[in-house]
Amino acid sequence: MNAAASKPQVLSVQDLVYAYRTADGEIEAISDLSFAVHEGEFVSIVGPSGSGKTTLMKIVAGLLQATKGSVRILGKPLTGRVPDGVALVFQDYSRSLFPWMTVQRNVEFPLSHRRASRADVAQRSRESLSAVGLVDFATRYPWELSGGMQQRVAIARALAFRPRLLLMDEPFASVDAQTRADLEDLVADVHQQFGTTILFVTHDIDESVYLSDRVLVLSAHPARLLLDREVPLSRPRDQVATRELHDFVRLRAEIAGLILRPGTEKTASSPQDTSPGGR
Amino acid sequence: MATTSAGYARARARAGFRKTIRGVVGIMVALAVWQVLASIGFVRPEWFPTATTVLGDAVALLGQSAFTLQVLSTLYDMLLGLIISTVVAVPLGVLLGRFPLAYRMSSVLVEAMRPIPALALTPVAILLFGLSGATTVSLVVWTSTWPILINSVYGMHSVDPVALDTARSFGLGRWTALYRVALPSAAPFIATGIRIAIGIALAVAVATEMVTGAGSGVGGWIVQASSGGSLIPVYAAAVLVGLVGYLLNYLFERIERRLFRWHLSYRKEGA
Ligand SMILES: Nc1ncnc2c1ncn2[C@@H]1O[C@H](COP(=O)(O)OP(=O)(O)O)[C@@H](O)[C@H]1O
Ligand SMILES: [Mg+2]
Repeated sequence: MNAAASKPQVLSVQDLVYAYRTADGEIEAISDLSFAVHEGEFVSIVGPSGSGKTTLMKIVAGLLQATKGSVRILGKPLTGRVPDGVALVFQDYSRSLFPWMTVQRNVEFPLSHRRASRADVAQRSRESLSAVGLVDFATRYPWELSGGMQQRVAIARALAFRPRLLLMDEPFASVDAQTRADLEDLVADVHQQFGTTILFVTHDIDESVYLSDRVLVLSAHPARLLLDREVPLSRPRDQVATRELHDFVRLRAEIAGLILRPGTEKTASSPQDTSPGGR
Repeated sequence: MATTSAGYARARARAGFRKTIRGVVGIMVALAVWQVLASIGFVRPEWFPTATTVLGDAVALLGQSAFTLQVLSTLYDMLLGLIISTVVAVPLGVLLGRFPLAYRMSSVLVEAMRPIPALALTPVAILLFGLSGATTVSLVVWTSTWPILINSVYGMHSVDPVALDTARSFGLGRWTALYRVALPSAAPFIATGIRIAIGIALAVAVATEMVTGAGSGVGGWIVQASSGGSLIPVYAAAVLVGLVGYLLNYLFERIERRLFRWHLSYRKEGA
């Protein structure tokens, strides 16, 4: 299981701080965060809502610039530009798909402004659409599809980009339970099949354990790292059987203890300054 | 799914038919009232002719090239003006919508100039362009620019930041994202601005021609025709101008509905 750690680092975050500048002063969203993601790893970040997960994803995707600290992608520091080879699947999928484009055009969007031949683009979009089971919907518009299907389009679009690092920001937060389970297994399949390195953000503890090789637990606002733990579960995993395993239950309970009763943990570990206005 | 969408289509067709019938009935009632009032004869028939007289005259006018050529001349000036103001106002509006500082610096100026009616500027236009079609074009440009500019800014402000972030996250530069994401998002708003402009442009073109006179355009034609003492041709021309305006608006709406099928406001009606 620890094999991943010897692989090259795809993402390395060092002493990251991020503060939003607003009219009422600065709001610190991330305070001093460090972690790394290795090639082929599936890492989940779990934390309460408002803890700074989306902020972190936007920084890694190059949409926001870190206030302090460094972020390296494949060894190269982020320098105010959008990094190559990173794709982000947004929390708000319906707003991130372009309603004036068909499903196929949406999927081809990240390729269309690159130097790729028409045939290559078509081939890649077909491949990604078939990976998410939406080949038959290529000529439809996103708004003609259900929420779960729209999220699959967003995933296909990210896959067509063939990212070295796939960022997913609470991608299944607003779909029903059945769809959610299907999409979780879809992403797990994609990870296995393409060997994609995935950084997956969720506020759902079960989901984080079920999907990943490693779980990072963030504190409530502003984000600090509370736990970085390998998930001792073999693949492929099963929606029912895996969730009943002793290791699964124990890890879930440990994370729940950190997130739901943060006070008890704080006194136990090294003393940290309590910041006002959590959530 | 298929049956419901077919059901929707049928319901939509029925609603469209009902709307057309109501519109036709409304016009018939108005014409009947007009006919009766004019027939009573409490105003001289040269000043207030009956509906049938005016409509008959309008149909006859359509056959006269002396008149239809003037209509074409007015339409030409109006379209030229619309094209110029679109070419100027859309890029300007997109830039103002994109750069908040430029918008804040210009918005008061825009709000102060917008209410200045074209007619108030006629003397200036005549000085600059003489008694020609260019005067008409310039005043159409003045009036059309504002709704197109303001709607373009509004369209840019309504572009979803998530859509822009998506474009940026896939490595599109600012200008590519503007062209490929912001502009298509704002397009329905820009089109609304152009449709509003079409509505006022025709009225402004005809009014300008009536002031500059000299027999050019529908406006000029109306001034000449009314000098004969009878108002019947004036009414007939007015009816035809109204009809042209209606058709232009109808045509443009059809185009919008087709192009922006994807936009929320058209998803129900679009097929
Ligand atoms: N644009 C912004 N301006 C100011 N504060 C923000 C902004 N976006 C997020 N925040 C604040 O930063 C914190 C973290 O937000 P976010 O990263 O969206 O959390 P999460 O994704 O974990 O729910 C929250 O307290 C939120 O209120
Ligand atoms: Mg979030």
